Amino acid sequence: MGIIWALARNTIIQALRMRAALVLIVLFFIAAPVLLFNVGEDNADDVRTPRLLRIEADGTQEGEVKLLLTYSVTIASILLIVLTILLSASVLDVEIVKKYAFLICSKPVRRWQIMVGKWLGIVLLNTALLFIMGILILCEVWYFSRTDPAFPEGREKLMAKVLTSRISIRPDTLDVQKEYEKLRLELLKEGVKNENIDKQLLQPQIKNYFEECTTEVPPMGVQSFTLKGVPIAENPEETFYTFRYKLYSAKATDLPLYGRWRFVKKTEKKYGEVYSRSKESEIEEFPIPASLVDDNGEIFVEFQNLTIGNPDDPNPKNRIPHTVTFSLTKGVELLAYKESGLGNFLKSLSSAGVVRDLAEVLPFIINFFKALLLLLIRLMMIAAIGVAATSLVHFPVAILVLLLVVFLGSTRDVYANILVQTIRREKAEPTPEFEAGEIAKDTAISLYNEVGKPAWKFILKVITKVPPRFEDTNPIPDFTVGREISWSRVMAQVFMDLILRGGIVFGLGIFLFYRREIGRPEL
Amino acid sequence: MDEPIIQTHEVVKVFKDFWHRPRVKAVDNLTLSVSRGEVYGLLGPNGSGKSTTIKMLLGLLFPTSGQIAIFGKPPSDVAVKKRIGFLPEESYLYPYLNAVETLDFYGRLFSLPGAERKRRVESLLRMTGLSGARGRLLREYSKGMARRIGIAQAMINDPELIILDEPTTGLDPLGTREIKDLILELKDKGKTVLLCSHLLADVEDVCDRVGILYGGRLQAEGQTTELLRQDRQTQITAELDDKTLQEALALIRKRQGDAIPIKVAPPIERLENFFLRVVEEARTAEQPTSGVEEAVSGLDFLSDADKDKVDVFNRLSAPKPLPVKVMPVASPAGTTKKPSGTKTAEQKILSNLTAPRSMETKPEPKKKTAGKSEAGKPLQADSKVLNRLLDQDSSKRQTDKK
Repeated sequence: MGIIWALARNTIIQALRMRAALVLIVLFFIAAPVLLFNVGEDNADDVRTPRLLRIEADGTQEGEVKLLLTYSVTIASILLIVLTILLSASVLDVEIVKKYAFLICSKPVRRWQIMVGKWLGIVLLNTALLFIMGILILCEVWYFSRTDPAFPEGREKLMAKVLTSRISIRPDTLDVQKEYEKLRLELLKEGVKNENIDKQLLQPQIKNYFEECTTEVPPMGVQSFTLKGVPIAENPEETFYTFRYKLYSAKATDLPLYGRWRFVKKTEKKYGEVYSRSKESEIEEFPIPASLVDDNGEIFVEFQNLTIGNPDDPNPKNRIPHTVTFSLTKGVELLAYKESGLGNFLKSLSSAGVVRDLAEVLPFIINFFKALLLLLIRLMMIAAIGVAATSLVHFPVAILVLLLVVFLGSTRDVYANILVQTIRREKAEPTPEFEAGEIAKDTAISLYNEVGKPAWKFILKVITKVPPRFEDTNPIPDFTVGREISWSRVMAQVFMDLILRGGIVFGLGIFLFYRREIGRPEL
Repeated sequence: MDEPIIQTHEVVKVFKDFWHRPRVKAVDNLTLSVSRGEVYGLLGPNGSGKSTTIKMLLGLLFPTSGQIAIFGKPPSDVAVKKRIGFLPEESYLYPYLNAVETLDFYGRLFSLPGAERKRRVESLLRMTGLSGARGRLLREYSKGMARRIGIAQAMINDPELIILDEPTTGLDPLGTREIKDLILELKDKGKTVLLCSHLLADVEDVCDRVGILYGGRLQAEGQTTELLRQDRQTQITAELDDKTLQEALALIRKRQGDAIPIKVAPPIERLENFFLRVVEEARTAEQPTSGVEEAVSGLDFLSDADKDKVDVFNRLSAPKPLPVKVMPVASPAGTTKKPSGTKTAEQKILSNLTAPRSMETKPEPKKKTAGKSEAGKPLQADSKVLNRLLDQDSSKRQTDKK
């Protein structure tokens, strides 16, 4: 371990003394405050924030902080990805090109130790920088979350909606196995051979597909679903959970959409109702009492579309009824606040002052660092791939490899949809006819059918299976709305991205590095 | 005795291009053996395969065919590398580290404990005369200073085998002399040294054996003194007055005939010696310098690689009467006298030569080793010719007496 630590330490010193990390921190310091500059209208009523440090969001304090969190974490993430790409594609290559490896490899150091040492150095540097940036972001958040004397309720909303950590519960409606069977039968009917239907490939695509799909509710129509696994509050009468939804109209409209949400506690035949008036494609939310959760942690939810139009309205647009659509997997969720043991302990220590404030925001801070951990997992994987790449190729090629990984990681879902459509269309395409003697055309079509199509499908399969899915390690949509990032999600990413993807590529890199000659003349 | 430390057997190295087509045969059928305690010089012009050989010995390159064993094991073995110190042809040190960090880093790679690492770093900095520049980044070092740190890192693990690739490149004559002294000190400690150089004077001064590579093949190999000895010629170095010189010349002509070419000229001091003397005088006058300070010879952490051998060596080298005419010169130890010791020996020889009467061979204590070696070869020649002259002179005197 001493040798690996020595190599890691050397990598960190290299990055710091070569000023790469320094430039990055300076960039972050420049970029982060620039975001705070007021670029919109000057709000004369806002006496809380100095003019140069004012964010134009939706005018609310929670909007400001949400925007601040989104932008700062995005910038930190992008800068660290750039740094990781540059460092991981260079640290090992510099050793070889500048011949420092002559000395290292002539010492009692195993080659895997060199690679692990370099990787560890990058990871430790990233961890330190991410931590520093995280602290800076939290300082900014603290600054923007002070109580505005003019709007004291703004801070309350901020604490309840953003600076918190709530478990997200979504409808458990999708039976992937059932949907797969349906799709399989459909494909068989279309003439696709059974052996060409890949279950392992299709099931994740079905899940993605349904996440994008929406359910349609006609005027006066009803859509119901069950929320399972809702935490049972210690004091249900005084605890409120947040219900969030996003509705669309089948025909785009700027008019409000009306509906009735009924939350039923089936075991006690008790329910609560909320009549909603919401703007299209905007997230709306309202509190529901925790007393509606039954003993199994379930709530039955029913939505009725009341956008039926008013025939007496002078505006002809308002006379038209609208079909409302929403996604059952992404469009509705219940956010349930769960008390943290440490937070309660801190609250018991003091009922006012800094300790009380800390106890209040502690779940958010923990969630925030979990979000940074997700980003770190992504950086660790990129570093592993970069170091592994330079065991075989030089810096410029390694950079290209890493850029490709980042590109595919960001666009994997697009390719997944293309693949689903390709499979669906496979049989639908008629075999083109050609005249006898048109050899060139015949050959081209044969080539396309026998080589081109399978090759394209294979490439799509590889793209949708092999590269990492960056969306999985993107915490921004979650922690900025106070949604808890679960440990199971973090561990899943550790396994999938770090151990499986990063580990396999890194292992391959070690194998290649052992076979590589150091100091070989270029021929 | 003669335990082989480096062994290569019919080693071939062919460099191939991207398409695996053979392009360059850098080493061709190289069979080599270096024994414990030996200073072996690997010579050859640029591109002769010296560096490729060294890289294969260190496990950086893999031989195309043939076998290599270091301490009886393959070069890639980590246990083997723990016993090796290596100085590459250029220093290849991290420019963003300072001297202490550099040595500490390499010490860590040998898993040396903290306190021991610190002690060795200090000792090496003293040895290289870089204590004053310890905090400066290596990117600010001159080539010679970087070379010294390179040498220091090669010694940090107290190696049994030291591989030096062009160790004196970039060094001033003072540094060169210090390296040569260091090599001799290492030899004293029973270490094995593989010296790779094309600066022949360096090799000649310190190596027991040399091998000459050309085109990847070993063209010649043997004891340095044997390879360099010119048995057909004789050199006399002495402070003679004109009369004695004429007498000596007359004597030589009388015995060898007038046709024999004789060159008589005052000896010219080697520039290296002159330079060292001037610098030494400046140091005595405490002239300030921003460069390398006076190096302290000797590393206190170096262990004896072969203690038994050293004991025997000390016993053999204890002062005892030894006739001048059998002065051992084949031994490399005998070729490396310190200047003071050399001077004494020369003076004694001169007194033998110039004392006209009752010349008997006088006992000469054998020196253990000596750092400055330039007198080694002349000594051999002097002793031979003197013995011959003295024999002739005494027989003449005996005849005269009769």
